[in-house]
This record gives sequence, structure tokens and C-alpha cells, in this order.
Amino acid sequence: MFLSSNDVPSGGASKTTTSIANRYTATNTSSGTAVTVDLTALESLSGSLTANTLKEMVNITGAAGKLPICAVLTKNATARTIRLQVTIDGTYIINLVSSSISASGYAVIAAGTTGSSSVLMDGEPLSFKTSCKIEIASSLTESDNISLVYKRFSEA
Amino acid sequence: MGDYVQSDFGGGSITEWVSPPPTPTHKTEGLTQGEWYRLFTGPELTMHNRLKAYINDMSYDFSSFLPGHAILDTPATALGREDASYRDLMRDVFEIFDKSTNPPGISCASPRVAFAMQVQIALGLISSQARSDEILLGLPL
Repeated sequence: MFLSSNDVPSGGASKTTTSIANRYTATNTSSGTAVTVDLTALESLSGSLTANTLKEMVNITGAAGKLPICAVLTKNATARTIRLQVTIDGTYIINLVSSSISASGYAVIAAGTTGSSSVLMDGEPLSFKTSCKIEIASSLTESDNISLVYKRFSEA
Repeated sequence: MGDYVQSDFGGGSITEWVSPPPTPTHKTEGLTQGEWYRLFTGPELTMHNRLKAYINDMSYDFSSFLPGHAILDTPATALGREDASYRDLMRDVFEIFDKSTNPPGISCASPRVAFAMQVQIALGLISSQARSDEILLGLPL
């Protein structure tokens, strides 16, 4: 096993995720992935959104931790684009914007993976040392028709 | 509607928008073919399967069981598809439901499924919009 200078074999949150490449970041044209929410994950409906305007859903400060699941999910079949922006330790590391999605239950995913029956499960986590902010947006002015799905834990 | 909630998090603090969705009572996404067909009654399935069995037999007389048999080979103008007959559209319906893969499975909220239901209503395979709405509630959990 090789360790980079940022790797620490044991202990708490020692890394900061600095970038992500997946099918959503590669093109910013993904129409999302059909998922079922893991019953152990947190899910929060967006509340009211203004079209194309980010809403802060989670803001962690002064702590280290990880997000093994982080995704934005459509809750009905109205055509819209959805967006997920994550800021780790003060730096934008991911800004996912889907193409138009016209189905319910479709997600763009910053962290997590899909398992049997399309369940969105824990994946390689996003790690932060001091802060983490998650923001979402829709191309529509609407309320509670998209949600943030995430799982968070702190580390010392 | 939700609200912002602030709490401790690992020695720091977290502010998060908390608005959990209602606990689902029905499975509406990612239905397998078996789960999808469980949404239909026996008589609905019988009609569906008999039509499927003879859909490519242009001489078969469907009048004994299919309420909409008279329009089967007419353009589906009422559904905005004057380019296709109801028979053509039913072939698409069978494709949607019988050749769906799992994952992602069948979504009760999919526009394609909604259109498929309209085709079936027009032919009388499904009795009414209300019955279609009932089916699209999904499978009770």
C-alpha cells in the first residue's frame, strides 16, 4: 500500500476532498440516475426555491467530517434541470448541473453509489477538515419538488 | 414546510434545512415487471394478455373482449398521434412494460407510462382515468 503525503493510516479527518470526476461532472449534461433513497440516509425537501438560484441546505463550520452520500433528487416528473454545489473547506469542489429531467426519483450524485434495486448507498465519502456547505437549485421557481439526500458524520 | 435547524456537529456547528418528505406508502419507482403487473386486476390482465398475443394478427377479431376494438387500426388523433394507430401504440406499450429493465424499472410518474395509460384507456383496457390514477398510486408498501 502506498500512502501519499496527505494520507494518515489512522485517526480522524485528515483529508480534504479537492475534486470529483464522475458521470455528472464529466459533461454537466446528465439526465440523472433513477434511484431509491437508502432508508438510513437523510432526505430533506427543498422548501421554496427561486429558479436557478442556489439554496443553502447544509452548512457545517468548525468541524471535520465526511459525507458518504450527497445527491439532489427530483420528486415529480415536471421537466427541470437540477443543480448540486458542494463547498469543502472553503473551496467549491463540485458544481453539478443536470440536463432537463422529466421523471421523478432521478438524482445527480456527488457522493454515493447505486446498489440493488437502484438504492443510493454510501460511496467514497467527501471529506472535510473545517467546513462543508451543500447548496441545491432547480431551473424552476417551485417548492418541495426536489430534495437533498445526504448522510453526514463528524470526525475528531 | 421545513426550517433551518442549528445543532452541534463534532465540536463545531451545523445549520441545515430540515424538511423530511412524508413516509412513502406506495412504491412508485423502480417497479419490476412483476410488481407492475400486480397493480392490475385479473380481468385487466386477461384483456392485456389476449391483445398482446394477437397484436400482430391483422385478421384477428378483438370484438369479443376489447371495448375499443373498432378504433384499433385508426389513427390515434385523439392522443395527438395521428401518425400512428392504436395498434401501433399498443405495441409500444408492451415494449415499455415487458422489456423494461430493472434497474431502473418502471416509474409510475414517467411521462411514457402516463401516455401508455392513455392508450389503454382509449382502448378500454383500463376503464377510466380514475382507474388509471389508482394504478399509478403504485404498489402498497
